[in-house]
Amino acid sequence: MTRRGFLVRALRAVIAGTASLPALRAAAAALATSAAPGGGDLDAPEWAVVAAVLDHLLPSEAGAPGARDVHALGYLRLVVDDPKLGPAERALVRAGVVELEAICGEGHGAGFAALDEAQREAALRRLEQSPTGGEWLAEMVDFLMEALLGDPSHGGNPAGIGWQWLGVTPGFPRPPEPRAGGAP
Amino acid sequence: MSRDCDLCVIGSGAGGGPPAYVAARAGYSVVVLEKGPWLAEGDFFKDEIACCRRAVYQSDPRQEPQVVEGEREGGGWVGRSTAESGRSLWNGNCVGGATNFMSGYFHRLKPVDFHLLSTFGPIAGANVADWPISYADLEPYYARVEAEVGVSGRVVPHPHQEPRSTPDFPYPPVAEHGIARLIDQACGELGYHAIPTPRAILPAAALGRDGCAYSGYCGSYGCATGAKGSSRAALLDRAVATGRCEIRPGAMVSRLVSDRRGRVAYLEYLDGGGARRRVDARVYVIACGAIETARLLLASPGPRHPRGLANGSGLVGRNLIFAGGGAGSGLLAYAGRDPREVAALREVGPFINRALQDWYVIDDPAFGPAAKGGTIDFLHRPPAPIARAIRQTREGGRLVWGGPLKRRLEAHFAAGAGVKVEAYCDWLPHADCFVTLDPQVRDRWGLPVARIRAAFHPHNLQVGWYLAAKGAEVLARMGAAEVVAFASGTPPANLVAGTCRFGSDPQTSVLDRDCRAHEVANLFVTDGSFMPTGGSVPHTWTIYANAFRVADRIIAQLGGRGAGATGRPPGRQAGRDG
Repeated sequence: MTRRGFLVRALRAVIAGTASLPALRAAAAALATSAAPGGGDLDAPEWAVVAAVLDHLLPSEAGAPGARDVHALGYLRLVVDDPKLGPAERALVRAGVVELEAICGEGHGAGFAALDEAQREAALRRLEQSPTGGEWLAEMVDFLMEALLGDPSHGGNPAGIGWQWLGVTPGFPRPPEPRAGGAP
Repeated sequence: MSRDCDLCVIGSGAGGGPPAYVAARAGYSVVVLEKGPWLAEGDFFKDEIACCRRAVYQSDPRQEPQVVEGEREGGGWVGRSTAESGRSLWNGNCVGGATNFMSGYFHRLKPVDFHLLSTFGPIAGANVADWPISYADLEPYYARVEAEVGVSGRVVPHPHQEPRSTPDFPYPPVAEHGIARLIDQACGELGYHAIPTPRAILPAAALGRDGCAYSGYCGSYGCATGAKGSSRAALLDRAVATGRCEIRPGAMVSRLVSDRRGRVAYLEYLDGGGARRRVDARVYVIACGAIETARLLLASPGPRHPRGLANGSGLVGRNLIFAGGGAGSGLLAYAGRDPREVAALREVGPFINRALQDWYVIDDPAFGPAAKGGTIDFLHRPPAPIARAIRQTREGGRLVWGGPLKRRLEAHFAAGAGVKVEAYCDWLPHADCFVTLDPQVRDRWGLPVARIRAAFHPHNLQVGWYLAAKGAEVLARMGAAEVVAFASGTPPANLVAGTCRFGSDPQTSVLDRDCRAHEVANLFVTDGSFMPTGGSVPHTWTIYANAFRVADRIIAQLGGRGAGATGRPPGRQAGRDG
């Protein structure tokens, strides 16, 4: 069995409830550092969990943009497609989703997306307690700040909405918009 | 004659630019080998994600790691690859090197810096040495850098003003931010001498380059107008224009091959496609930055150089230094000010550009016997809103998110104008600060990487604290809130020197007073490696000035101005190595 195959099986075992949470964390940590090409690709339900987490970490409000308004999910998807960050980053993003879903399943018998506001907060704070989970959340928060205040050419901060909110004056010249179909 | 060129320069930053420029203008053929790509003004944008979050202008530590040693609890040292830690000591990786991304705070060294040992005596545990040259030897070249690289400023008399051969800077200061006046006022009240910080930035078009566009995003960002005096914009572009200087980007030099007399016979490099190529020159210059220069010499043993090229003394890689010091900050709150004042504080573009050198030598009984002090620069906080926002997401070891994070961001960005203090003191050379070759880790070319131990001497912190506290005193006098100051022992990746100390004794130095290797007649080192001590300022102006000085020696060795110059372009095709 390949290293990646082992990790994926370990993660599935955890999700299926046949392995312990510490085992999951070890597996997630290992997956996060593995750089197998294409390793750790997220499927649509997993991206939906990421979207819900980003919304919770930076909620939308009238007059103060949130994750949705700054296109944080789209930004993150472009980041993990960046060959410079690529496979390792995708694996890290996915490992956090798996760990979070395990916590939610254990505590509430449901996935993160099905929880109410208070339950989501509790689940994320619990995730923060684990070294791998805390690292994952810190990454998500960092990506959110990049989507909020980075140049729009990278896929976040549409029309400078984050700059306007916080009164930030960008420098110039600004980077050109990405070519159609290409990464920024 | 089968040689490819008269002069081959390895590395294109502050050390590489002057010899390439001077030799090409004197009629000699020059090849510059640069590991990174050749970017120009049109390639640089004010893009924090690219420059600073992804560090796209630095070598990727996963492809090109270094090993940095840390002190183990209970003694001993443990090395960790930067491929894992991510804490890289890399700098600008492109034609022009780190000078593309500098802020360009340009201070000269002062006469005292050339003989610290004989002035202040030894410091226990430190390996301080006098320079083999004096300030008078370097002064004409500081003046030359002012004119040719372009340094803007205004001479204001103060107690530690160094002697100058010209009355004032050739370019007037760049535009000043309103905060400069507040600093002047506070310093006046305290009896300190605030001086305009000289900058390697052209305020208006000159030297074939455009003036500053005042975007407010300078340090860490590439310059899109050419106003910043990078080695590329100021020197290499003009060297190439002579038709006698060829720049080869994507060229990673793997070793210099020396003959039985100990001279460099040729060098080998790997081109962008990974093909092994050679350059055969009359004279060679290494200017890869202090760490990589030491690495290349150590990786180039030969029949007369069993421990590495020019390393008979065993000192190649030793006496690594950085810029020591401290830092501080304060906040000029918008609340309580009239709208015009707030608008002035909010202005983006002009520079603060104020410095204090009142304590360049500390003569204060409270500190101890007279000692070398340093320089305090006042500056805007870095133009990095993402980094500022990320700092708001951490508190007490926990993450802040949701509504509380948003209120915190709003409060932070609306609170006021930040003012930063940077204090520069000498980083004392000592036994636990050096570069060797790592015995195991290799880079993407299969070459052994630099292994760096970068511990600080405790005296650095004493001086750093003293200077940072003086800066904080000024901030407090300005009415700043949230004033903090601290000393730091962390080695700054952008201010590295030492490793090939120059001196008159081949037993205690690597280079002679002309920065020619004692043991290799056709090899010069022109980056910051030569410095036995670094001065209490950023090193860049001194590296430029010394490289111009050494360039004159190189021209003399090649046969003088015009005499013996081939006048032809460098050989276009370096031969493939069998």
